[in-house]
Amino acid sequence: MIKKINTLKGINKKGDKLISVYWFAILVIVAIGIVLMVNTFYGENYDVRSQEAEILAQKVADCIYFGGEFNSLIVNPQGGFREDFNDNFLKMCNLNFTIEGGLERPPYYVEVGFFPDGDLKKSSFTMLDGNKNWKPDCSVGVSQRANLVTCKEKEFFAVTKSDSVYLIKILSIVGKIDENTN
Amino acid sequence: MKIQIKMKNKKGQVGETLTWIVATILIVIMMIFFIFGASMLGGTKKIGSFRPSLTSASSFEGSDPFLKKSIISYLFLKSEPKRVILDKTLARNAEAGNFSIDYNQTKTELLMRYSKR
Repeated sequence: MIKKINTLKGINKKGDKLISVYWFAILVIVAIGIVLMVNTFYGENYDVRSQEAEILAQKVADCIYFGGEFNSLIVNPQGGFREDFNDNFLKMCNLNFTIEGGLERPPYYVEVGFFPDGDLKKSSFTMLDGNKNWKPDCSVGVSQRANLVTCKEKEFFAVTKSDSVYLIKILSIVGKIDENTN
Repeated sequence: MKIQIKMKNKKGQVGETLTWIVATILIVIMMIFFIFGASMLGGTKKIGSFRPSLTSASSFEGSDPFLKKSIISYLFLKSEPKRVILDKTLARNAEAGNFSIDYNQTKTELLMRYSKR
């Protein structure tokens, strides 16, 4: 009884070709995984709403009071405030809150309060524009603020020509919640 | 009596293939973990304040235009009692940390600039 075993000439090498396919499959899987990881990590947005709200407040402040003087369009010769400035507030300050081609509400809100002699109990004049529905979100606690709007409150003192001092408080709110939350 | 038996032993090939299948499954599972970890680490990033070397708190040229407006109002006030009240109010706000730059230094710089005119 002779057992004839496969000699060197008869070794079947088809298995090596199959194993090479596995090599490429592993490489492709790892490469796809690395691409997905890098894309996931670096593809997220940067939330700049805090800076945006601050810039908005600065623009409004410069529009109202610049170089130690009130904007002549906001204060009448008698020293009082003009109501028509409130109606055209955005236009006179070269601000545009509307989104072109969109019907949704503007993603910004600005409120300016004028308090004579720094008395916060009485506001002699108030200007506001934008989406006022966001104002209640500003009073929410810090721990719950992750998915809400960004609010900035700035204040400064201004002097009229008649030597009256006003505390001006500017509240600027930037929405854009969907673009900046996960 | 000669019996020729050709024995084809494929156990080696099957063993390697099984090893590769298990390795592939393990690698895929590890990839899933890493991708999940990357998605957890990569959330929306908030941009904080600048580095102190760029905007020093003691520098007049720092970023607080609201404080500068208030100090300019103080300089333009003609009534001395009102100036005193405003100065005290601003000093109180400075102590409370409401300004991002130094109040006294900014006031001194602005006084110097406006006194030259």
